[in-house]
Amino acid sequence: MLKCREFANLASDYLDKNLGWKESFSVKIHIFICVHCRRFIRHLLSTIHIVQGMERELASSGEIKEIISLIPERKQV
Amino acid sequence: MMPDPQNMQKDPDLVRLKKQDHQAFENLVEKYHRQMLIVARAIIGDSLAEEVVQEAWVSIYHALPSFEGRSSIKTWIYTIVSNQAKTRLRKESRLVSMNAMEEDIPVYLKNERFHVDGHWSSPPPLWDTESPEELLESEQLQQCIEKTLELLPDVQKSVFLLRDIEQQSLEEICNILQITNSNVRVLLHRARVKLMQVIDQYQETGQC
Repeated sequence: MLKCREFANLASDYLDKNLGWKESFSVKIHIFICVHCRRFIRHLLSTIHIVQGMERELASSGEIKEIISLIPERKQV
Repeated sequence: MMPDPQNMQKDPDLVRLKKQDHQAFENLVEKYHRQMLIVARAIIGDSLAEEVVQEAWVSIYHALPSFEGRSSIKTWIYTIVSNQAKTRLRKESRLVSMNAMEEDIPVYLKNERFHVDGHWSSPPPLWDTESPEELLESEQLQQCIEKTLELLPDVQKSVFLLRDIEQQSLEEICNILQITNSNVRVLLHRARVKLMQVIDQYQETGQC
C-alpha cells in the first residue's frame, strides 16, 4: 500500500501520466482514501495552472535593441 | 504533438519570419529572449549565458529562411541556443556544475513532514480558494511566485520553464538540457512543490 510520503514524490509523475499502470493504480487508490493527499494533488495542479496563467516575461526594449543591432541585414516585408 | 509543416507554412507570422521580416523577428526576440537566457544559464552558467544567447539570435536570424517546421518554432530556437551553449562549453573546456540533484529538496518532500509510518505529520493546509483564476487576482501572490521562480536553481528553473510554460516534451527537455529523463522529472516536481509552498505560505500569512 502506497504511503503519503511516496505519494508526495509521485504526484507530478501521476499528473503527467509518466507512471506505469501499477503505480498509477496505487496512486488512484491512495487519492480515493487519503484526504490530505487529495488536497496535495489538487493544490499541485492549481499551482501549475496559476503559473501558466501568469503573464509571460518579455524582453526589455534595451535587450531587443541590442539583439537587433547584431543583425546585419534587416528587412521589412 | 508534432507540428504539421504544411499548416506552418500558412501561419502568417511564420511566413514573415521566414522572410526575415524585421518586426516579426523583434516580436520573436521579445517573446523568447528571457526564456532563452534561462536555458543558456542552465547549460553554461551565468557569466557566458548572455553572450551565447546573443550568438544564438544571430544564428536563428540567418537560419530562419531554412526553417522547415518539422518542430515548433520554439523547440527549434531552444535547440539552437542549447547547441550554441554546448559548443561554447566544449570550447571553453568549462565544467559547469550540474549537481542540481543535490540538496535543495522542498520542505514538503522532506522526511520531517511525515511520520515514520509514511503518513503526513504536517499535512497540506487548506487554501481559502483553490481556483487559479481567483488566486491570480492577487498581485502580491504573483510577485511571490515570480520571486520564487527567480530564486530556483538554474537547471530546475529551466526544466520548469520548458515543461510547464513552454509545454516541451520530456524527451525534448532531455535533449535541450542534456540531462536524464528521471532527473528532469525530479527537478520538475521539486520546482512545482516549491511554488506550491509559496501559495501555502501566502494563504496562511498573506505574505511570501
